[in-house]
Amino acid sequence: MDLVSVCRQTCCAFFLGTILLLGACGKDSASRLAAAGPAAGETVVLEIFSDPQCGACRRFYQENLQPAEQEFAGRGLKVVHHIFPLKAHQHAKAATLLYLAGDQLGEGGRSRVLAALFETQAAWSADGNIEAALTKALGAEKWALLAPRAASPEIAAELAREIGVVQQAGLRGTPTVVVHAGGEKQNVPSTVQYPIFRRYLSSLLES
Amino acid sequence: MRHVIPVLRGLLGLILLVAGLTKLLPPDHRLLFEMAVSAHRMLSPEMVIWAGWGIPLLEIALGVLLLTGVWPRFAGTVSFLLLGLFFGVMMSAFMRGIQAYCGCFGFGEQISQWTLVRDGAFLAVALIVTVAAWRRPGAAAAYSRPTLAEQA
Repeated sequence: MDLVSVCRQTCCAFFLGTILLLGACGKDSASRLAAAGPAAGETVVLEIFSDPQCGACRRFYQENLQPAEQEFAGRGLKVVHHIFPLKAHQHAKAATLLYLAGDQLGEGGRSRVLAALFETQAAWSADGNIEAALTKALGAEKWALLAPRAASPEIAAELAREIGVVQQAGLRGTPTVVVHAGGEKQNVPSTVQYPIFRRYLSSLLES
Repeated sequence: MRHVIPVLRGLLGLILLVAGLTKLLPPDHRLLFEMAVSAHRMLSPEMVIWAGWGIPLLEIALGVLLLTGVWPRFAGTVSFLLLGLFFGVMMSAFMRGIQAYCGCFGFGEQISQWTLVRDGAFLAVALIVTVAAWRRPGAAAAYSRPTLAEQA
């Protein structure tokens, strides 16, 4: 065995040993990750750009966002929705106006309307009858509050502002999910499985 | 050709080493890589967590083997299979229109025609290196210990 060969194999063994050590320290690295998250009292902001008639947006909302809100709401997670209509979706504008009109239902009103819109998306996307879908999901009383508010100029102006925000963000598709934490922002894939998304959020929120 | 193969092998080793390290360092990159793997919806969450560790460590190990020239046939073949797997998964996501991230060198790069062309080129390099390692005993020996006949 010549000197070059010995050096090469020693070098290789050293690097492979380092890799094994790195693997063994994996758990420590994962726990150290928490230190990179926000300090106690700070908030992780989850910013989501969705269209109410988009199927992928509904899936992300139901599979990831609702469970995350339930699990982390009291632990520093703040969710910011930007609901806007894509031109390709015929009934999305009416649905967006109704979502914005949800402020009429008091605290958490918009969230309730959004949940109802996504829950009944298949029905109203097919026939355009959002009134029937929301009346069934929220009740006739709530619909009576939502409908006139959705037709008001304030809500139209708010929608125009939201569309401005969306245009500035330069989106490439819906849903777009951005996590803001520790002064940095990170786009995350919307098709992520919830247990993996949960690990990521936990690591940012634990401090 | 005698000098081209070692250069390609070194280049492939460097690429795999950098790709593996950027998935593990800084530590939060590993969780982002897990999300990139998870977004393809091909593995269970438990398997995704294993892949989050296993893939970068395998890439680093292969990178070291290719750079140092130890076990060239093994390193070349496994690198080719690994890159082939990546290419297949990315192509599948691209064809299905899934909004997924490459995760090749860190996080945030969405799968596009460009990422497919780049990874296709890496795959071609891996194929050349692997074929060269298996085809000619002389070529394989040039990266590893000389045979007894050559020593004599």
